[in-house]
Parts: sequence; C-alpha cells; structure tokens
Amino acid sequence: MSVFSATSLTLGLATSVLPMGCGSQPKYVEPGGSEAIMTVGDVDPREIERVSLVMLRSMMKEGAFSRGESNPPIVMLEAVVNDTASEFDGQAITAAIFEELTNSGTAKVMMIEGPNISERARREAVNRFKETGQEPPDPDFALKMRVTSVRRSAGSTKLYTFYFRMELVHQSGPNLGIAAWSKQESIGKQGEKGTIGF
Amino acid sequence: MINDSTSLNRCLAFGVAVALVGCGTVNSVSTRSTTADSAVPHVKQVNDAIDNLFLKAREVRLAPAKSGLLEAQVDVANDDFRVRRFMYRFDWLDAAGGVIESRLSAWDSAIVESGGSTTIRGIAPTRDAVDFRLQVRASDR
Repeated sequence: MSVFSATSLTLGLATSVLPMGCGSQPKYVEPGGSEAIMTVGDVDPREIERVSLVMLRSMMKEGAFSRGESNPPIVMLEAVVNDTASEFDGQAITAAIFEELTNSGTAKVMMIEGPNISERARREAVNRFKETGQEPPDPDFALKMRVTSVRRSAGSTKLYTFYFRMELVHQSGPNLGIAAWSKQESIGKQGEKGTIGF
Repeated sequence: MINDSTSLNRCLAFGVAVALVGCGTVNSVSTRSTTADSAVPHVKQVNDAIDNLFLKAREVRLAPAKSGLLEAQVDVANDDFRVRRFMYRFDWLDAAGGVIESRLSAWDSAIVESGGSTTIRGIAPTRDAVDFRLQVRASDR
C-alpha cells in the first residue's frame, strides 16, 4: 500500500512539474524573424514585415517616384482594403512605407487613414493651407493596396494564399489615372495549426 | 540472364526517376557561361557565410538599378537533396563605413529547391550607399 502511495505521489509530482517545464517564458522576438508565431489562416506580423519589404524594394528599385510632376513627389497614401477573413493592421504596411519614403527624402507623403476618407482629408488639407494663405499642393500619386485570399483544404490540411496588390497611380499631369508602378506579392501558408519558433 | 539484367536495369532506372520526382529535384541549365559585367569578387566570402546552410553562392553582382540606387544580387544554388529554407538580410554602408538605417534592411526568407537556385536581392535605401553587408541564417519554414 505504501509502495502504491509513493508511486502515485511520484507520478502526481511528475505530471505537475512537466507542464511547468514545457511552458515557455515570455521574451522579445523580432516580428519578422523566424522565432515569431506563425498561424495558418491569418496574416501574421511576419508577413506584414515581409510584404512591406518586398513592396518597398520594388518601388525603390524601379524608381517609381521619379515619374511624378514634382520632385520629390507628393504621395497620397490610401487606406489598405482588406478583403480577407483575417483581421490585421493594414496600416502597419503603409506606415512602414510612409516611414521609409519620408526619411529617405524619396517622396513627401500624405498619410490618410480609414476607408473613403481621401476627400475629407483633402478638404482638411485645403483648410489648413487656406489659413496660411497658400494653395494646397495636388498629389502626384496615390498609393493603393488591396489584400485578398483564397482558402483550400485537403483533409485536415489547409492552404491559405494571401495576395497583396499595391499600385502607384498618377493623380495629376498628362498620365492622370494611369499606374506608374504595380506589384503583387503572394504568400502561401499550409498546415493544420500554427507553430512557434524554429 | 540478359533479359533479367535488362529488366533489373529498367527497374532501377524507373526507381531513380520516381525517387527524383518524389524529391522535387530541379535540373538547371543556363545559356550564360561568362561572369556578368556587374559581378564583384566576393563569392568566396559569401560562400563562407552560407556554407553551413548547405548552399553555394554562384555569383555576386552589385550595380545601379533603374532608379540609380545600388542593387545587390546573389545567385544561391542548392546542390543538396533537400529543400533548403533560409533567411537573409542586406545592410547598406555609406562611404565612411557607417550602416544606413532603413526599413529595407530587414530579414527576408528564401526557399531553394533541391538542385535549383534562387537570386536574393537587396536595394540600397539611398544614393549614399556604396557597399553592403549580407547576413544569413537557417530557417525551417
């Protein structure tokens, strides 16, 4: 009987210690790094970092902003249209682009947030200029982004493909309404559940 | 006896073909036999950095892109029998050797199929950039 109790006690202790040993302590990770959580059906910070990088790299390489009427051009940054079931901060992508364009002096960026707010923001900008007696500048470009997704499954394995489309459209001059640059990046994620770390 | 040997060879050849298809091995061929005009002599240093990832750098190029900003391109080949995933990052240096802070210096991921190759790229954030520094690390996803 005492042997049975000792065994039970040991087993009980082991099962209570085991989950504590397996639990991970919180730590700082790089959002775009390989240690960050990766889910299957959502857009993760890792993908936001990657898409920002890919888009920036392409528009800087192609010299898209040198095709504007003014130098540096004025860019109106429109809200990201998210047509996926995943909730994520689309502004995180445009904010990264805003930061790089502004700090490098590549473009003057008008940050506009929220859907269909372009006109209101424009009126506000006009009012600000009226106070100073200046004429508001017309933007050379509008930077637009749309995210869509396709979901497929085979048994318990799911494949989510996210498509990030970004385009820079002329807002003034003879090329009004014509795209100066465009890029699509697709990210495919397959699995049954999310993972952490390597 | 001859028939048996022929059958065995056919079975072996079929087996190898099926195994290769199963592994997703890529066969590569290129019409270019000379190095590019923009190639820089840093292949050995890059190979030292990516050797432990079982990858091989074939060529390193550094030239201005259409925008006038410098672009680095590294051709990376996977001679191994497994798909290799890795992460890389380009930091850009100015003429004084200082690192230029930029969103363009972020970790990016790449996948190279067995027997295949890929080109990793980095674009300089400003015209002040004259050199780059490449960092690589393994990743399994």
